[in-house]
Amino acid sequence: MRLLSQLILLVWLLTPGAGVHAEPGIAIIMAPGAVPAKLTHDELSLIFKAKKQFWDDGRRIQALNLPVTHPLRRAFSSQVLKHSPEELEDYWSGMYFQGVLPPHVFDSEEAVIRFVSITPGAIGYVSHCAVDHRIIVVMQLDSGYPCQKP
Amino acid sequence: MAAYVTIKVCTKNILLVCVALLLTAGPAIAADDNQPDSRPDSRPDYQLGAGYRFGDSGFTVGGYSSLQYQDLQNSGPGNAHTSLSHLSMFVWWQNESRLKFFSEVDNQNPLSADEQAQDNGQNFLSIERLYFDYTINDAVTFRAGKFLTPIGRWNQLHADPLVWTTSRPLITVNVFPEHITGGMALGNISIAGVPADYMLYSSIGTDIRPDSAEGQFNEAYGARLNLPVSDSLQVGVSYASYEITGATGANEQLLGADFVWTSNGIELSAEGAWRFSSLGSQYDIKGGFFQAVAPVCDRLFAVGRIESVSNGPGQSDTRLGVLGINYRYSRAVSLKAELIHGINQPINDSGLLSSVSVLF
Repeated sequence: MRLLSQLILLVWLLTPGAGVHAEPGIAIIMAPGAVPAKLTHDELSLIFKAKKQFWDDGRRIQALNLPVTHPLRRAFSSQVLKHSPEELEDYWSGMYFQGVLPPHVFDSEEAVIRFVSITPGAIGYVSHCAVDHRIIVVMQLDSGYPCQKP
Repeated sequence: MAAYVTIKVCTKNILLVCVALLLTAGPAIAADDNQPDSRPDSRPDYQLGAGYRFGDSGFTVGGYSSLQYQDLQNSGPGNAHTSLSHLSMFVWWQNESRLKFFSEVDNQNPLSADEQAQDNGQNFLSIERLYFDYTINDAVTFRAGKFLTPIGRWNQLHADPLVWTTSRPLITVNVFPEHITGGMALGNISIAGVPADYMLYSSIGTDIRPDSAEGQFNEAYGARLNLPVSDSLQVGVSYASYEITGATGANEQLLGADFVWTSNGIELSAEGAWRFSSLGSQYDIKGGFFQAVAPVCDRLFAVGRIESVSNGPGQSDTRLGVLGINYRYSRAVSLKAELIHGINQPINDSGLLSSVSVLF
């Protein structure tokens, strides 16, 4: 019986697509040691709209985005900011007129992790299964975003 | 003959500026507005609609420009003309510290095919904004210098690429000075769990490089509060008490309210203001506008606006209707055309207005 269960597990692991995690989610990440006392959903929205620019310890926040076409960006924008990136274009044009720029855009989750891991004050988001020892998760969003390891 | 030569030269200059604008915008339009960084320690130097960043120096340069064509009935026959109505440049500096510097210089009507416009001194280099910010925390920033008067939404976001029409609502013109020089406290605070933007300001009375065509505050103080009531709706209220230099010496009290609602590409907005005069109720001014925007197809939008403003003692109210289209080629480039029809309008004319504007 034990041998049978091990065989079933082995077959499942070898099956194409087994790397796709059943658990969906977006991980909000920061550098180890730079974690705020608490972070709420509303604060996260304010951070990514450049309305909240400082952590409680006075350090300036650096928010990081993925490209507009990235499905994780679209899921994050929809869930946290309640609008698609296209719907927020006018908002950012208005902010630019006031001398405020949108979060920096990085081309991959790995680039986000690399920057966050070496930058205290930086905050970004990656898929749940991209999280590793270099960064820590400060909030988990259940977005329904399918997580696939590169 | 001289007038003919002037118009010809100006038209040629406008064409040259058009070509320059298109050449400048062309490659950037083709690029993704949200071009990503390929390396974690680098940032793109230039994006259309997001300015040019000078590396890690903290300096950013940007601006906007608008080429306008107008054919208004009351200007008389043959007075249709084209002009580069705005060439505005922003320069700001901000690094990891709490200090920020922002400036905007606007060259109004730098090039016009209308000789009369140039002779009338409408070509004016205006310092629109020039201020320093010092941020204590997210709830409190202190600002000192010249800034846009925070009454309503339009005046604070009046740049041509950011608004839906070429014409500006009457209630945002000449009812209150558009700029103020003084101090302000502003920030984002939580009111009953809602993150609200507030502004409290006071004027020192002397504007930095005032525009003679615009009224100036002698003394002023005021406040504004903007509440995002929901993800789609924002509501604002404004209050100001002021005296306008060179006017009757009357003290004015202004109360304003505004909202903007957006959903699925549809935008409804309105602003209203009531200005009470110390000279008596016959000198009060009240008015407002309601504007609706709806997508027609892809990036083409239909725009409609109705306006009404009272004109003081013994005069009938001005009423305006604006119907137009706005094609947003990209986030930073828009083409507009609109018909204006007015009744009892001493300020604006009826006719056609169109423009091409670029946020660069």
